[in-house]
Amino acid sequence: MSLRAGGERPVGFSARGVALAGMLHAPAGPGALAGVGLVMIPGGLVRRVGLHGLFTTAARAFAQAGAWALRFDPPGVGDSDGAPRWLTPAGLASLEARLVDEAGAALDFLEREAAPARLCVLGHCTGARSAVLRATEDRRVQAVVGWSMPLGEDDGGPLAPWVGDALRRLIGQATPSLWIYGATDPAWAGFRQFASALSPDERARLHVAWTVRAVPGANHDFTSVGWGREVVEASTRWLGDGRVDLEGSRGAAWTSA
Amino acid sequence: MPVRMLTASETGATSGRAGASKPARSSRKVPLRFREETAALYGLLHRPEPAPDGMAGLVICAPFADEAVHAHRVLAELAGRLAEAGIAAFCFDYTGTGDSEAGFDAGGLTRYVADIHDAVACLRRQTGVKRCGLVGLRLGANLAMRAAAEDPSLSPLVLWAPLPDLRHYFRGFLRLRLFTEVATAGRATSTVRALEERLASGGAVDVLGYPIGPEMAREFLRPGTDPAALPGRPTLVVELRARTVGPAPGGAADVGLCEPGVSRRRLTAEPFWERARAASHAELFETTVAWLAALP
Repeated sequence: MSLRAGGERPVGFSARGVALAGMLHAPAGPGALAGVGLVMIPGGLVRRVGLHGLFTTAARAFAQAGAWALRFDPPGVGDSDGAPRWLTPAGLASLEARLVDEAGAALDFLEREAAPARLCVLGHCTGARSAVLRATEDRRVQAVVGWSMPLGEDDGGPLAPWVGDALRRLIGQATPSLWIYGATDPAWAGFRQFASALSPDERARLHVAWTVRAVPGANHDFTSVGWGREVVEASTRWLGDGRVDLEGSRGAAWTSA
Repeated sequence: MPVRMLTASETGATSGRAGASKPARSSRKVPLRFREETAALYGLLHRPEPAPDGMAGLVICAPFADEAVHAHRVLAELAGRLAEAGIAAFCFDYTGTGDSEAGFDAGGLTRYVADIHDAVACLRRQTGVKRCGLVGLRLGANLAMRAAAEDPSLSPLVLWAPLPDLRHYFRGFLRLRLFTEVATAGRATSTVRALEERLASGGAVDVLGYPIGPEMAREFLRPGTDPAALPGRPTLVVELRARTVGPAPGGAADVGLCEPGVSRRRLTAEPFWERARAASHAELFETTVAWLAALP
């Protein structure tokens, strides 16, 4: 299947010997995101389109702005083969089981197919944690976008040390990162709790590299057309020029939410 | 772009086949984009290999909105199981949903039924099947009946948890917006009746991130019911009852033939269209495949 400018094509690649299904979006033309290649990781058992089609909408917006985007189904989800192993006790106990290899295989595929100048990862919910873990071990990743990333093992539960450790490594690397939360999402409180416990040195580093944004009134899945649009537009702007022209601001936005 | 389906032993998958015999054939997944002249639709064909003589085909009709996102995996697994049984099975996304093109507000019941006909044509073109039927879940079951009523060649029909009343269903869908408001803002700003009035006066309503337009609302709220049976079309209706606390009753209950040509089964299952879960649906699959296999 050929891929015209602005078109999209079902693709397949494998990770850990499991065939994964994805959708590749080609840039519609030159734009603010020219040269960006984005791997998008859904959360939990949600297929690559996202709830209310948010991932599909976002990928099309990124492609309209000039980026390559690759959405994929994790093992045992959507059209991919395999089983969702991270839901097993063994999967939960193992960091490497959190789609890190799958995200790496998606990055490999995108590099081969499109050779973008700037590789980025975006994840929603648990997919954002996978994006963080990949970015901490893969120097090809130049930016991370996380939507509604939970820092606990359960909604509103205590912070999971492994997530905090990974985020601290990300801060240490000074990887540019955009975090977007719904202001009513329990995960937002967890993120603020994590941020308030950072050392002054970590906070200083974080202010340089991280942008944090809470969408007023929004929930975990951004289940309104307006919230979804806000998330997609903020991510597009930030990927383009590092700015979020909304109420959020760089660095310490969590303190004012 | 063919994608080989790996076996359970290769993937470590637990597909709910414990105790089941090895399938007689494998299957191949073929992603397809079709109807490219307008808003293209995306689908995944599960093709039996080798294809049996006189192979039949089934188009799988998804439910509505987020129910389709949650239920997708179960329908995809059914498609794989059907292909292993020698039936070409085709899952696809309606206009404006999933990986298909256009915005959600370009869809609607009439559009979705037309999409089903296009998917049937695509399946026939790709596989050469002469006999083609439909499987539908929830709203997809109602849409399958409507499509079959328009095309007498569509047979057999498998209806999982068809909706008894589309108006009631749609009002329940609108109510989800109010639940979201209560959960995020502490109170609902409207009522279902007020939302219906807004739609009736030509306005749009946002429900769970889905833009609902007046035409889509009119189609759901139109009086009338879908046919319970179509003469000459063998039909399986599977009632899916929510699992409750305690042991689930075992086996599929045959609840009799209420209409000529209609077989009814009642199963206990999690409402997998409400939230995707890692669970086995072996009983549902086996009930469906066994009924299809017994057809003349």
